Amino acid sequence: MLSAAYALKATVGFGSIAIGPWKAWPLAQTEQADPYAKAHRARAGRLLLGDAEGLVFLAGTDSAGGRLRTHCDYTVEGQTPPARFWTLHVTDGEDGLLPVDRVFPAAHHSQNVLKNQDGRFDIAVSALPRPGNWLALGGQDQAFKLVLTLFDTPTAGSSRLIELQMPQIVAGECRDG
Amino acid sequence: MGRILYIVLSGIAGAALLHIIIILAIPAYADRDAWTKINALGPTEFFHILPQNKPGGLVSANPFIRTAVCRFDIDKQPVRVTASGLAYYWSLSIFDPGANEIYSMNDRTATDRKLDVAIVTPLQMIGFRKSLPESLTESVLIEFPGTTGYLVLRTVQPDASWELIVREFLGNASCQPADTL
Repeated sequence: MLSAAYALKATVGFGSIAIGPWKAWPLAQTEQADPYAKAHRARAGRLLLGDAEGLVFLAGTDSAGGRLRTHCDYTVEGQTPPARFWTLHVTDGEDGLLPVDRVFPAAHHSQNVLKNQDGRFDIAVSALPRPGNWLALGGQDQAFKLVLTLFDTPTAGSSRLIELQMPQIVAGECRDG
Repeated sequence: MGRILYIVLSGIAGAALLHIIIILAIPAYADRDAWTKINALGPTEFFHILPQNKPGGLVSANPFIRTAVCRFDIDKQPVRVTASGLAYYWSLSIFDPGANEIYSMNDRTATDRKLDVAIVTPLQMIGFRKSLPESLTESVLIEFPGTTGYLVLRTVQPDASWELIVREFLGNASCQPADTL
């Protein structure tokens, strides 16, 4: 029983696509999903994105493999696969939204991120204010996940996903406490 | 020694078997899956706009997405889903009670970016092939393998200034039994 609970908390199922630290489960909402994925979605009770709607990528670690923690600084840099619209937000260990003071930017999307001339972007993820694009963290020190959602993207259901460019998550300094 | 090995191995095999049985049984016995939560929302054939944050309930998990859910029962009549108006982006997914995706679309795949679909059973579809009711002439017919399910309409709210537009779009969206007589 414990092993089943652990397995469902640890992963969404087989059939994931991993690009660097980012993982997506393009088949999780379909009939073809494996038993783990079906058990996971039955326990989580969430509304999943359909094929034509978009694709959700989760990252629990930085590009070097270190676990993401709210007392550390990170930079999300690079570009996303083609999509009409994308959003980046942060969730806590229970997959709820991380509590962040309402006046701070707790999420970004493709229309409000400042980009370089070549279309690439840098987003500073930190509990302390940062110049440029700043994604605020909050609450006490805990592990968190970055959630990148691509809307109306040709990547969903495409086997070419493997070649696609996802942003890097570069770890910066950590503070005590 | 052989006896201890036998006990340990059979214990491991039994635990593995139990693990597999539990994983396979969870979808059938889940009491907080999406379908249970949707049934708790209220009436069928009605768009329920989901809150942003409600512990244990159905939520619109993405901070820029606003979500409306409609549960339907097409045993007697098909259900027709319409929405129009200004929206930055909208998308629709139709699921069976086991949360398997049956159909999904977004505003780029719709004609004139207007949402107008009717969800019908295979049996009703046969009838409609012979004569299409007046009320469904402009709808895209989607065959649904079953009688109950739910659909999710999502739209994007890029910033606070879109709140009124988004509320109007979701408020005007309708999900109701189609009059096919």
